[in-house]
Amino acid sequence: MTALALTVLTASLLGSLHCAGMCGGFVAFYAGDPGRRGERSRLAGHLSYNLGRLAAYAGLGALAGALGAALDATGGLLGVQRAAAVVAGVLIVLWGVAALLESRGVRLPRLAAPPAVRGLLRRGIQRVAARPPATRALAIGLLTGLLPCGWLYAFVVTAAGTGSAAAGAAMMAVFWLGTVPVMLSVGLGLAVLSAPLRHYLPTACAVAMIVVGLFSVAGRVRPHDPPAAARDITGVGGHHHAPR
Amino acid sequence: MLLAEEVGARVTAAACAQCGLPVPAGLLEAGAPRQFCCAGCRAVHALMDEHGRAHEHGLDRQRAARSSWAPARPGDRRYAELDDPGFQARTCRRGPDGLLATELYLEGVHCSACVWLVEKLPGLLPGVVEARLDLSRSQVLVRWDPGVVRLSAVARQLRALGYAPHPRRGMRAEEVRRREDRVALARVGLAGAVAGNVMAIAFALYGGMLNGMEPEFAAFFRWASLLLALPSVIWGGGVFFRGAWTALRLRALSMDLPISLGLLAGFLHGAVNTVRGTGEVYFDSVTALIFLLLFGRYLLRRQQRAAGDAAELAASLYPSSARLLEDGQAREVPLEALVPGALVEVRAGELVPADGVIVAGQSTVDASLLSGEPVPVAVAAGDRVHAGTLNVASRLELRVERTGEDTRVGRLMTLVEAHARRRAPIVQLADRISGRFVAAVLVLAAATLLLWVRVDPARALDHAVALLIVTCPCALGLATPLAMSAAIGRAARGGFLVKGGDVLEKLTRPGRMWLDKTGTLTEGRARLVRWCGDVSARPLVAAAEAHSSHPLALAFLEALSGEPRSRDMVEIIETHGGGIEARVGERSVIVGSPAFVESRAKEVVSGLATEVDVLVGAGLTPVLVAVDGRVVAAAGFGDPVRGDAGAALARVRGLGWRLGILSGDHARVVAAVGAGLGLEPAMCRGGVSPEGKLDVVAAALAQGPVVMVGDGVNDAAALAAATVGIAVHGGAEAALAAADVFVMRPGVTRIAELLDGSRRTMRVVRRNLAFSLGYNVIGVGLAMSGALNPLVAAILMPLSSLTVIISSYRARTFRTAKDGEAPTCR
Repeated sequence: MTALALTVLTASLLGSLHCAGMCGGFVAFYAGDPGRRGERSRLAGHLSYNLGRLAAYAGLGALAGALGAALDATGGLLGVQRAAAVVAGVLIVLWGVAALLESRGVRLPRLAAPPAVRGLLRRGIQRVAARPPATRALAIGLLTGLLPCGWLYAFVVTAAGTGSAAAGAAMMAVFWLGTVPVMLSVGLGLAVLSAPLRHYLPTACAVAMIVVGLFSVAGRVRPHDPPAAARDITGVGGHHHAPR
Repeated sequence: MLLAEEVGARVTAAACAQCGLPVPAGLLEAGAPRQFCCAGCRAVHALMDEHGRAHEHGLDRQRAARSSWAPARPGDRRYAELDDPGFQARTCRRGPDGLLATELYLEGVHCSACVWLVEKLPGLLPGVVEARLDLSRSQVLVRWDPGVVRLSAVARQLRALGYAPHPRRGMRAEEVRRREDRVALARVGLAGAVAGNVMAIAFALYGGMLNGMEPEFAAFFRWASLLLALPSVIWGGGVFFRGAWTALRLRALSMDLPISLGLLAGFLHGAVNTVRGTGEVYFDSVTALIFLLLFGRYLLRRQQRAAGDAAELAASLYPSSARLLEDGQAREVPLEALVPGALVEVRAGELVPADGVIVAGQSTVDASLLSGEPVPVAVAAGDRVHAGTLNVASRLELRVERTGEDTRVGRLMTLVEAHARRRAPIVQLADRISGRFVAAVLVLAAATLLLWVRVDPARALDHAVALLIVTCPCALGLATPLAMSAAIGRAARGGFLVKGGDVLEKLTRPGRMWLDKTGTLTEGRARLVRWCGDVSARPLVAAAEAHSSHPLALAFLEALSGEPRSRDMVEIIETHGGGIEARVGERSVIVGSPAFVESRAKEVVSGLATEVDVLVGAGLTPVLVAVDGRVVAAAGFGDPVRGDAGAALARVRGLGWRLGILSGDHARVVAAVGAGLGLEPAMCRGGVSPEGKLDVVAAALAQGPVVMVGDGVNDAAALAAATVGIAVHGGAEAALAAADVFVMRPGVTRIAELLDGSRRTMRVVRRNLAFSLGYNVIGVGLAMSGALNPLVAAILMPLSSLTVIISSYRARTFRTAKDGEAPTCR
């Protein structure tokens, strides 16, 4: 569990550099006109936005984790162990490989977000445009959960792989943690990434995803995976195996 | 801050319209107006489109943030604007051989390996004749043939080497420099924060090793320190990796290579052990090393800039702020804010901040810095004054014409710096050794590894890493030129403008020194030395000479200024180059050369007949005074030898120099002066023309080093020809154009001080080299014998280079104002 959390954190930190670029516009939108308001309200805006994001991600994680639990249960009935983790892992590895191929020039069919979701996003933003800045920031933060961001959804799938709502929410919280430094930097107007690294960013992200996926498949995913379990042959871990 | 050149650069089709990152090749859509790197960016872009104001604002902020990033790929930047004829007309100089020369500011320059690399440019790009990099200011002087290669190609090649070029002039270079500083500081800060945290975790781990710790906690701590160390190694250590890689690409060994290897080995070793769950981890050493190295480098950059900056050199010569007059109100502004046409106020006792024309007020200005004239000159509305001169008497209002580097003083400093890039022989030696040193270190590290693998495999890598980390050729590569440039900076503040480190080195090898007489060894002015005859004639002479501007008249007046002057009416009958005839009251007074007076006077007082010969024999210019037709007095005028000349020349001789005088003055006068100073008669040559002086110097060059000390204007040829030419007189530009050193303050003692300062500088350089060698030998010994732990090595190495750096900068090579002697006593 720790291992997966750390892997997720690293991958998130790595990929957050792209988050700055894509969602930077949102940051500007909710931060509004900087000359008009003071530092405190700007900080409140940033805080609300990021908290909104946390809520959205954690919610998605919980949902996905619950889904994963359901998958696990079903799989258990069919005699498959840790179905959610394996499925999630495989999906993510495939995603990472696809991203790698795209960056090398191979054209793959793309899935666009369903228009209903886009409409929801649009209406949501319109509704809050006129609200006070903190509310606006919070709402935008919540809405970013609906963005068709492949990177985000890869992690949601990882959360599903944990097989429990609580673990899924926790995993998404870790992902959120990794994005905070960069989003705050963009909010404060700092330049984020130096040129040579940017060139390798897509490849690095794809590789990171593949690693996460492999971790998931390899079974480092269960929430209560005691490292000593492998050595414990008479304890709790062994009762699933019926004596033959 | 928007950098105009980047806003102008085309964003190519390969960058995502929303986030600016490169679009994966597989997602490019031919013919689409906008490309996106992912569905998310496309969606966000569409959304923001529907919210016009927010969109513009957001994109503007992004664009501003993005424009301070360099473009995604080296190939994106074409530098086409450098080929613009207007730009080239402003910033490039055409040499006599048809080559163009210009200066560019380079980003990312940090060590002498970079110098080596950039100076290889002529070999990499045909058409480039010369590339010289000034490490302290990160500026490269490039000379190229415009018919063979364009400036934009040169810029692209520099970019490909890893140094982004920018035009040198103006605020842009400042901005880039400030941005680089900010990034460097951020890197140091991150490295420091990471190092602190990793060390805290390491304490816990060490404690755990002693008292026992559950494996889960140990694993957690190790993973945590691994992850913390990761950004430090990637971003902080990346500086060294890039440097090593760049040098390797050009098949050179740079100092970054052992450091990079040590860091990588230490980090990967620890990472592997962390994943495996057993073995030692040394993240604390690695992160501590990165922090200390980055910090040292940061300090180094700042110090280098402080020592060698043109602005800094000139800042010791003119003020850093000025009082701008707007609508009658005075406001303090920094010097860079002055533009031509602005009105500034200069109060009495202040230095003039810029070249300009006086619009109001009248005062006297001490322009000795530029003209060499120690006497203040009266100025009033309509007169021009120059930056760096001192406004003595009263407040002036000035309309600015030229500021900063365009002023006379600024151009002077540019000249000094351009030559400061000449590399002293000892520095060139150090560069050559650097490469071999690195090779030796690598071999020794490999040897250590092989030796220890047999004895104690677990520790073998640690010892090799410790060896890689502890060795530091910094003194060779860095601190030697630093000691030179620090000394040159101090020399400038002490009143010596030195045109290069090699000058200081040459001044430590004694040979023959030829000095000019008038103005150098003597005060350069006529003074009344002897008066022989009737003293009562003196007031009459004073009255008669009162309105003449002949040098001898002025000398008379100066000498007789303390005495009462005759109050009678003065009527000038005749003035002439040879003398003056006047009627003072009822008496006729004739003052002039012997020929002039004898043709008008009738008789000579006894005892004075031979006086003229006596005066000439003593090397003085004779002047006779006749009152009412009778010669009553004879006066002798001489150019007195400076009071400190004797002692100073004795000091110089004590250092091993053979001294001589070369002068255009009369041979007997020169012989007399030489005898008075204890010089060999054969070495005191009078009646020598400027061409003659050049011949003497050229002939003496065949026998060893020759130093010529003289007037920048009259002795220019000889000064330029000598091994080292020291100009002590004659105005700054002319002096520096020909000579290697310009001494701004009068006095022969200055020459002795210059030689002492050179010797002290070379002593510092040798001390640095010895320390570096000794430290490395001991360090290698300890590491190979297994006594060194990478953490200790990580602390020792930056300490050693900091020691060398501090010793270079704190060394009191030349005395400056801060050391208790005012450099501009007038």
